[in-house]
Amino acid sequence: MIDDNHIQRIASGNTSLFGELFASWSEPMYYYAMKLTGDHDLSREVIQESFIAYWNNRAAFNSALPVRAFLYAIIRKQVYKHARDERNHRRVLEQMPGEEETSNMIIITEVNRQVREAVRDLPARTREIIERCMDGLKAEEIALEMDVSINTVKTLKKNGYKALREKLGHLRFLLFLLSITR
Amino acid sequence: MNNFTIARIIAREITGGALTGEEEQILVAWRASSPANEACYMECKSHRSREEYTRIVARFHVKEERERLLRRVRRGTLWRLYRRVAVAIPAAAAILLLVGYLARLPRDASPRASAIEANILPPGSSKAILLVEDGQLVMLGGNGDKLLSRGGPVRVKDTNNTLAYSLVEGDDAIESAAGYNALRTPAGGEYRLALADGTLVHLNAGTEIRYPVTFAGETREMELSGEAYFEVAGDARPFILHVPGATIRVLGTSFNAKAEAGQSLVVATLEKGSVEVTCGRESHLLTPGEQLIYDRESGSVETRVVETRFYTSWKDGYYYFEETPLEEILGMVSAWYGIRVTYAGEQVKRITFSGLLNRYSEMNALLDMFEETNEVSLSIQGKEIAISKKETGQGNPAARQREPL
Repeated sequence: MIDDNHIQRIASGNTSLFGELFASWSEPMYYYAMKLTGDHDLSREVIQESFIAYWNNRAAFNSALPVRAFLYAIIRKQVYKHARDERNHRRVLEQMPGEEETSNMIIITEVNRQVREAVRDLPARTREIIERCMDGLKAEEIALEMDVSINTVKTLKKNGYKALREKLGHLRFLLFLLSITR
Repeated sequence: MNNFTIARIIAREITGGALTGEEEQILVAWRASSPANEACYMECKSHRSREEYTRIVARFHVKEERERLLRRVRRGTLWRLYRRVAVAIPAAAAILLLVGYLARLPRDASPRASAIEANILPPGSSKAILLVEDGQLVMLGGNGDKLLSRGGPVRVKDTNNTLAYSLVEGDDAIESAAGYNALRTPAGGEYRLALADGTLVHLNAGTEIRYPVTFAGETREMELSGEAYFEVAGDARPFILHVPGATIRVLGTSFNAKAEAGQSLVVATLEKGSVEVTCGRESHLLTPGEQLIYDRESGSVETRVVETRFYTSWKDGYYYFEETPLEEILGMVSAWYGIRVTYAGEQVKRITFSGLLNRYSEMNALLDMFEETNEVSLSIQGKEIAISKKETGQGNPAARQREPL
């Protein structure tokens, strides 16, 4: 997990922690870039450029959330810049999503990232059950599909959701975070 | 409402969390405010979206991309810091970037009255003491070229700051030449040792090594306290180095071992080949580029991948560091310059520096470089250096915050 302390140590120039941050954050950023461009190689470049931009400005950050917001903003900027540089820029620009759309793409990315990260650490069977629950399957259907008893499904589901709730704390905490990082 | 807040609420809802009234309100208001938001919400909740996410990120090779990024970052940083050093000196002298040249330039051009200048801290030099088993002490150093041995199957020669053992050809009496010698460097000393099997050992300052005059047994074993770099000659007999608290077993290799008296850390850095380090009951096999750090006090063992040059370049006559914390840099050079360092607070220890330093220049060159960065203040009393973080200065924001977006 990347916490504020991690960001502060990057600020003082620690390259290996910067590498850890990249390992943990780059996938969702790539997803976001792919949603904007649909181009694998371009997205890879944009990701590189964006993290370099953060590195060059690392001293300005001392907590995690603003860095995340910065990366999303920079990715969008880079994608637009690239579109402008393209020879057929008019066509590309017309296809570029607008402000509201990119903002919603960030939401989709963040939701997917958080759900994936939360579910990833669950025990394998619990995870399978939770993923099916999220797809809207009923306990009976899951029991049938996985060939386990309904009670097993219900118990694991309960445990799984409990673990997830602890992972994704509720909003008061988050609002507090936002207010101190502004 | 902030994107991240909305995303967190939706993620909580998907993972079965009961939303608070406040969260519920925020979410409902956001969904109702535009059809695009409602569509976004539906997409977040959909199985399709999660599937798409998994499919897309599978194409991204995090490890590869990270290496690419770090290569760029490291290159960029070095170049920048070199430029930062170069600003302080006339352009012509910048070519070599050896800080040692800095120290020899006329200084009167500098308006900065430095506390450093009054105290010259000279570098170490080649000197050592040889302890022969019968209690005899031999002072070495001073570019002598002397034959030290008194007959027998082994010839011991002190030449070119290297103490060299070699077998006299045609002599079968090797077995009889058992016995140990020890070579000791004082603070501010260094020496080379060429063993009878062809292994070359570079001893750093404040180091003692005890070794057999010839290797008659099945193994080649010796003891080290301090810091030395080993270029072990290939040989069927295993090479085993004992340091306080740990044993390093070598399979043909170049490595650096550091286990200083009065320090609880044992640090083994492997450059080439392979070594096995045993500390306590655990054994760790190192591959080139790996470093093992064992804390004798706590018993903790850590292995990590490092830029080996940081830890081995001293034997080639320079120190090289890159984004290295101040405490680590001074730990590397303190025995060589025979200094003691105190820090005002923990923060100052962690300030990082990069650069290249000639090992044979006065320490003032290094200290000047720290001062140039305007991040630390130094006060020197004889061999005691007190370091604190600069309070009033603005630090050196220009070095970090370049390239506006």
